[in-house]
Amino acid sequence: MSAARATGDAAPTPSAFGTMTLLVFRLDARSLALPVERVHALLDPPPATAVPGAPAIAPALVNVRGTIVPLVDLRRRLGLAPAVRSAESRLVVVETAAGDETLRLAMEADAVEGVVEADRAGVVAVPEIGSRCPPEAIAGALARPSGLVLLLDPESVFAPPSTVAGTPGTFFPREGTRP
Amino acid sequence: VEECVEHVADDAAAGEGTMIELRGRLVGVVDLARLFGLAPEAAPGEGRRVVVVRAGARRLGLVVDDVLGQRQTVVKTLSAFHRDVPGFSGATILGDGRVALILDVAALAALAAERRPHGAHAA
Repeated sequence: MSAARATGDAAPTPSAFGTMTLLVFRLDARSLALPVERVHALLDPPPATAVPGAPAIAPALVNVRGTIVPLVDLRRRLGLAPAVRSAESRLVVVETAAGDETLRLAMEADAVEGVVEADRAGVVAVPEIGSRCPPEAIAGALARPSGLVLLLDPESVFAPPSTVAGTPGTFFPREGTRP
Repeated sequence: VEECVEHVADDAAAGEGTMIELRGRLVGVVDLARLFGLAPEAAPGEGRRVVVVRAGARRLGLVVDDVLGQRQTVVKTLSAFHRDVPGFSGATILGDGRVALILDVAALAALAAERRPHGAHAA
């Protein structure tokens, strides 16, 4: 049945045929997913070191087994309210491509639901209206028996602000600009 | 880093742009917590310290909550997320596993000098 997979490259884009393996995790009541190829590790959240003047989407650094990794605030990136850590919270260490370099970063999930195999044909486009998340961050949605799972586009959702429109100097908070 | 001295309450009363006298020489003092927009953990005089650093020909006193010690470490560069954040040259991992930021003294001095004309006095 898997004759559709003609080439050996496992493209993470959900447009091709075949199946893909996803890590499904939760933020609030929302189920989100990343391609497992992009997930480097799942850890208990370590203490984070805040970086004064850092962009709000990456406010801190964490130690991931001896490497220093930026902690990305996925909730802020997706426009969600901040959360409190619980016993279920997990640190998801992700590897993305930023330009020609590999970028390792970490994000916190409220809980990790698990790894699922999904049919690429089951991925549907998310309407721009009706979704509260920034449209470029979402590659599509997958209907599962437990509910809708939003597929994150790792390169877009975890893009460093300096590679987008960030002007150096505006990151440093002036009096009263800190959220 | 040249030396660490106790921060006396009187010096802090004048707010930003203060100086301390150090063996007959005046050294400009910058409150790091204020520069970074943080709330200091300790009140002035309560064990806060001034770390005197040298940036080129200039000397500068950095007011800190406490001095944890000195150590030899491996400096790791910051990722694309934090490369443009002013005041830091890198980060390192402490003995207890936590991440510590490494200050870029020259950039801090420039940052402090840039702030001075604004006369930003936090209420």
